[in-house]
Amino acid sequence: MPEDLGSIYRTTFRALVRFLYRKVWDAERAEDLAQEAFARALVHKPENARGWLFIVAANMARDEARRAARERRHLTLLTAEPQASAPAMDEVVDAERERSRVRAALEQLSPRDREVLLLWDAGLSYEEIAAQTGLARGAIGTTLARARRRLVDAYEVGKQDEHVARG
Amino acid sequence: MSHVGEGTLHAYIDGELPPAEAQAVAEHLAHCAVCRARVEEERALIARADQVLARAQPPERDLPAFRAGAGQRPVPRWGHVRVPLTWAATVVLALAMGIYVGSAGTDRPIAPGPAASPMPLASAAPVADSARERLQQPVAARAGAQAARAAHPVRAIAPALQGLATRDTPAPAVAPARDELAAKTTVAAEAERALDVSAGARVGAVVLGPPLSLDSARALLDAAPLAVPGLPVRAIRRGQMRGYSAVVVVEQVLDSGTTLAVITARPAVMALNAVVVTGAAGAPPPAAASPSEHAGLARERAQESSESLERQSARPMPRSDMRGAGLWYEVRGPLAPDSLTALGRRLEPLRP
Repeated sequence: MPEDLGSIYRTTFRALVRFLYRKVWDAERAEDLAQEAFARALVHKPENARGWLFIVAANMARDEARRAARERRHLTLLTAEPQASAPAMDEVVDAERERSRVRAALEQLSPRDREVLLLWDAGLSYEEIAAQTGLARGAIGTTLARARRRLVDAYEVGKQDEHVARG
Repeated sequence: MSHVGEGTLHAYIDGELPPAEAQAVAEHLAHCAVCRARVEEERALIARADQVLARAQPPERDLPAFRAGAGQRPVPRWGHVRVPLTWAATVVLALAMGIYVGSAGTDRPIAPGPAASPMPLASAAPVADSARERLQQPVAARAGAQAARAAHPVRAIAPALQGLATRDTPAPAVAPARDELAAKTTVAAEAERALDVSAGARVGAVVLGPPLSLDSARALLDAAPLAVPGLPVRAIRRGQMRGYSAVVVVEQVLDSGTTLAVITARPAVMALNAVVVTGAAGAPPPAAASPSEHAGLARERAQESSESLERQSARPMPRSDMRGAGLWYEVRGPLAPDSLTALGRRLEPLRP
């Protein structure tokens, strides 16, 4: 195995998991998919492994999202007809609520803005992001600026709405 | 130079402007208070965006070891590891039946013990039939023949299993063995029917069955099922899962719209893993002297199981046997895995 893939693994694996996590919203799945991406990289030996990994990961996450949508229908078995609401469990519920706020906010971004933001957050350079998304390098700053602003706005609005809803 | 554009500002702050451009921006900022203020604003925005994103992090974990075998699939996860074991369970069940029935023909009073728990349902009935036909065959010959047919790991299992069966024997009379066997087959068939009825409903690998009272759940597991203390219990149900002799699913309401399933399960002779491994470890000298196929396989399996253990311990979700009762458990629900893990840590035996 090309030894640089080993070093890419050490430097990039966590970032790849984080990138995937914000797409599939399941840490274990994200980790599995990241492993799978690296396993494929071993076979394909791509020239620019880092960029290649993120492309493959993005594709896998898309397939995963389709599959998850199918599975969610089965989960309704468990989520249907809730009864009395439960006490306590505050921190779990809080962390969960926080995550779904961020998720909801991210989902309000356009797919391209979201992709650029997540790739930047995963540690890719403007140049790598440009190569990945097909955008001009000069457009990345503008896209990122917009994505960041929308994310923060959507997040704050979502939070306010919740407060209003809860009275 | 006119004021700096927003995109350029972000690129500047991100350190992604080509040197010449960055130089120009720096010069502009030096004498433009408006743009300096904007830089601070954008910096704050960037920090805020990073902060928001950071609230949706996967849990921090150690870097898993990278398998550098070309084209090899990554380390399998728990659920996947079980598959070969299930296969092994079927073989062992067959052997156990063979020994059991065979012993009815001879004078040795051997009961099947836990080995014959009816879990791998599909295989139970046909095995029982063929076992009855060969009632008269001596144990060793049958075990040998089956081992030969089923190839590798069986030879390692057979002696270990025989020991297991003998050890666990309370030695009852053998006369009703035939009837008992028939009864077992019926039970298996019944269970199979029950399985079919509820085949639609699943939680993970568990097929949901009929509701249970807490008492029957306790009797089934030989221990109280686990649950998250303080959460209302909506239902306790029996479950079926490959490789487990008793499965209880407790449905609990976390908050409106979120229901958890806490699965408590007792492995069916799941010592299987151990049986295969110990059988191989204590394998007779021939195996050690000539690295035969099954020794190799057993080694592989030993490795696999230690890896899966390792991986389990690397994961925050403590899925098995923290309670010392030999039980396996898991919390499932439409929550992020780390929340499920947090809930998993709170599990306690369910009390009325």
